[in-house]
Amino acid sequence: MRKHIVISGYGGQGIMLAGGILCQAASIERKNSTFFPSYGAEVRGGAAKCQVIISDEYIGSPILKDIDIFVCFTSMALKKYSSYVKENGIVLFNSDMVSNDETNVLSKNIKKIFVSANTLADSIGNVLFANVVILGAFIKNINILQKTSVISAIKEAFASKKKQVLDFNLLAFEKGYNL
Amino acid sequence: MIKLLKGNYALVEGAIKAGIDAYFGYPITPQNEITEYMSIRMREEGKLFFQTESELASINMTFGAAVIGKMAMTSSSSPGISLMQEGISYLIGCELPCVIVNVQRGGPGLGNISGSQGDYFQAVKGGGHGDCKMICLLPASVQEMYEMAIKAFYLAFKYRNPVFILTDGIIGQMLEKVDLLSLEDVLKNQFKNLSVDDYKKMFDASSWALTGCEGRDSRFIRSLYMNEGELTKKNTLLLEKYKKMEQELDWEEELISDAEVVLVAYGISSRINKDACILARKSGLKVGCFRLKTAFPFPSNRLKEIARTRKILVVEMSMGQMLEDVKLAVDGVNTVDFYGISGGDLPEVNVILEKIKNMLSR
Amino acid sequence: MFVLPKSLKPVKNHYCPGCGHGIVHRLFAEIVDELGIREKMIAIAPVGCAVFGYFYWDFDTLEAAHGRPPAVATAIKRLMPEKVVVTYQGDGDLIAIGGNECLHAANRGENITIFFLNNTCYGMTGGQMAPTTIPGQKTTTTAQGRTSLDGNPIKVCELISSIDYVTYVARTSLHSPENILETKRAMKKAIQNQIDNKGFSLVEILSMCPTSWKMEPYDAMKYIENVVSKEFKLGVYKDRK
Repeated sequence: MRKHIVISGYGGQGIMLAGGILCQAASIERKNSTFFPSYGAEVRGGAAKCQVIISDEYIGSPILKDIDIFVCFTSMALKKYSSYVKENGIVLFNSDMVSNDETNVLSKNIKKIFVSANTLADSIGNVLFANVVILGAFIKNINILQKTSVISAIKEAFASKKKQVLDFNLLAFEKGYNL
Repeated sequence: MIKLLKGNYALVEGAIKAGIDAYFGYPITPQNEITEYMSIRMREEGKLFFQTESELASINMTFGAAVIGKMAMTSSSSPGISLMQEGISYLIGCELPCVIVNVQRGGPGLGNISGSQGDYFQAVKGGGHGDCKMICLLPASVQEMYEMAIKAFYLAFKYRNPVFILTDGIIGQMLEKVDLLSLEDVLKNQFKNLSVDDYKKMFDASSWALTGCEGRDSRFIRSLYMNEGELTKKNTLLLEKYKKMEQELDWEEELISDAEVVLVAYGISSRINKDACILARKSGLKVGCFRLKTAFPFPSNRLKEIARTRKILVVEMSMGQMLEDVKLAVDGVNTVDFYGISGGDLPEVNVILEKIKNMLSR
Repeated sequence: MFVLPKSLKPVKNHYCPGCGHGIVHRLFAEIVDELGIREKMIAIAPVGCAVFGYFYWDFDTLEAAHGRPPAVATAIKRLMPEKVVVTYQGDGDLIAIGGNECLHAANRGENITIFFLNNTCYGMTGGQMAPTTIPGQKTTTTAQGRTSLDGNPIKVCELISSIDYVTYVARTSLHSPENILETKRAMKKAIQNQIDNKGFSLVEILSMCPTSWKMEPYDAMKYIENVVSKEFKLGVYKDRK
């Protein structure tokens, strides 16, 4: 098993955090995993992308060329990376940021999953939880990581923050998972 | 303890495990994680973290710490390392130990902030004006960022010379599994036979450091030798030291014995080579991998030996810098092919495989 | 009665006749003896005429890259606060190539002492223009005299004393016995401040360079009195309590 995952959107949407959690969850399951971030020139509002590779075998370069699973937070990200998604690949959209029509650029063999992540995140108090909402939907729909290991990874990621912050994120994860 | 860390963080943990006294740094991407994480970890450890006003100050503060016998480190990325060249030369001239880290980015000039391997010449042939040499370590994983930091401090004090860790923005910024081993275990991995006690003893600088002349004659440390013949003598002694450093030569080879083509690289490129090698073997091509773990000393003899019966493909994220050293080593006994890519892009496995096929059909 | 300070090695002076370095070297050594800090001293020699400071001072001394003594001193003092760390710098070292290091060490209020010899030129390299060269002064790179296009003399004391964290800044001169004694008082205070953990102290010392000025030693002293000290006014610029 070897999966290439790209998560992309604007800086400030928690792109890197989401990628880091996936990478950590894979590590908890004793799989090999790498994470590589890349940013635009701006810290907030610029393009942000991270690449995660999860594999049972050796991972050489953490930089990938083709995408198995693309988590797409913005139309800009869709335009940039849609052509790299493999046939039979999967794209998860934040449907509050990307319209249905726009997704027609993808070939028919690519599975599309729509998650109104902003709306769901907003319903628990803050749109910033959208990244973790999408993670919930990711784990439910794509069978590469266990739910329990992702939850452990979320707990680790927020270990130094207030307990309340962790609780909201766990709630956000469940929202996405139970769609 | 197994953790998922960025290479830059692992390097910091290694330096702290080694017992670092002082770190000096100025922000530059893609090595900011080192400076930021040092600011947290060094304060936790009660050690000196210092954000400097420039890379000039960084290297010269490192010089100041070294001159009083402290374990000091500075880090930067390509343009910042260019600024440090003068200071590096002074450290070498004054025979002072320290660790210098270059998390390479694209160049020349401001270049870009992607990983690159464009500073090989600067690290291996340069290190400032004059006859300068530094042991140059080449980590290729987050694990090696941790272990080589520990190794670097020891070698710096062993030879009283700066040790250079040449890595890149990809190894520095990628997140990967790392085992934060005990000092004892790292020494087992990185040295043939070195006890924790002997490791720690190496950092006793009382025989040479400037610490105030209480109970001894006053000392001075300098790199200026104006009297006739004095500098020649000094440089002869330095040359003897550089010769001794050659025993620290280190490399790794895989699937060489039956190989018809051997891929040669260091750092991130060597990992891409390994990806290519695995695929090539799957399709029945006899390909092996050679990975440099030190650039100085350079594994010339071994490369020449390998090249006698095998074709060599150098893969490098530059327009051909290490390539020159490989060619010198191979010394014409076989052809040396090259795949270089510059400007922050990575070598592609498909291209490597294509090159291998071409070489085999020649 | 002439006695050699313990902190001064019994060596022959290599400086040009009438040069101020020999005087300041001796004052430095006398002060170190008087304060009983010889065994705590770590001195930093500059790149410039005084680079050979370590051939004179009998305490631990090193040689830093051009302009970088304040950075080197910062690291040493931070790591060994019990030592006495002094940099000895010239015009080029302190305020041309090393302006940034000096400024930032001052701005951090580093507990170090800087002795800055201002002789209005680059003595060691043959008398070229310095940032401190007097308007109209002829040097080997300003044959017609320094013009406004070459910039105006940088007033180090005025500049550094404006920084909040700086403790003590004074400008003295070597052109007469009284001024030499005043120089010694200022230097001693600048080191005492460090011992008392008071912070950053800098003494700018106007010094003669008869060779580059193409003058007899006596005339060089008169030149300081009549010209240099008019451009660079003597006095205590800052003495923060």
